[in-house]
Amino acid sequence: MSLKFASKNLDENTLVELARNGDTAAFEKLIKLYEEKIYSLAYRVLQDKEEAFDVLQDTAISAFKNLKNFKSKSSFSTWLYKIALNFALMRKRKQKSQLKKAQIVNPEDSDKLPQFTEISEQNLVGNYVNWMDNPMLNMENEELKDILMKSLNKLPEKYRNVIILKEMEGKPVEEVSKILGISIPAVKTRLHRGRLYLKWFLEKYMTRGQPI
Amino acid sequence: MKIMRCKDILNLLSEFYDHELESEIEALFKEHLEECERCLSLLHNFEKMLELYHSFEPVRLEPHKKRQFHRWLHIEIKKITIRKSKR
Repeated sequence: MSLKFASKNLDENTLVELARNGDTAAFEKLIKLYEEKIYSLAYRVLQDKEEAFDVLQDTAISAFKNLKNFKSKSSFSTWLYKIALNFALMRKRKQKSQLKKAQIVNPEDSDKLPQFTEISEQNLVGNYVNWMDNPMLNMENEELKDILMKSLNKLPEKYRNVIILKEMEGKPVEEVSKILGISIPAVKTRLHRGRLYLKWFLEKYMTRGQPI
Repeated sequence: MKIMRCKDILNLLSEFYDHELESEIEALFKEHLEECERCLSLLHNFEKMLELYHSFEPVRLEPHKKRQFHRWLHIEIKKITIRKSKR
């Protein structure tokens, strides 16, 4: 049986080994396993379908060319997400600098974000209205969805990356730590701060009843 | 830590949500919530906000884009392999 046919129902590790030994069909199979997730991650970062598709292409080719550098210390998928996130972040930074050059004010950057300590203090004053049964807070409310995404985009990159990976892509903290190359305590700190920023944005929307 | 203040609740919110508090601290956390309506709302709102982010629909690659990607990848890989073999 040729390698091409043998690669049909194999596990990830075997596919990686076959791909490393030149079985291109095994590599294509590996990419198929993760293409949706790579695309989804890129889309969450870039908010643009075409750009996310480009990231998927860049990631697949880069992985193919650098397969020899993949160390089995982490899983193949973690390695792929790392490559994909880097490509997506490079594009995101490019988007921002192009907007800056064109002197277009990006609505996401128009307000200066308060320091985290300010956010914390604001959480400790005033009376809280419980949102649990608020009809505005449902995902059929398109304005709310827009607010949630804008809030995410307003976060500093280090918090946004953790929120995207953990809360939206459902990665465990350990994997987030490996993808970002930071310690687990650092992931947890960024996660907590990112979450409190997001809550603060939503609080603003709920209090004013208008977009942030 | 014998008495928990509102500030402690705020700092421990994520750890409580992720079930990472030691049982003794968790008991103090819950004790505070029973007496402080504001912190209870803070926790509920925090949970609600995360529930909203979790309920975003997964992003899907459209079938025609998926086919386009597979065709493209197959050709690109072939090109790279041929270039390599010529070196």
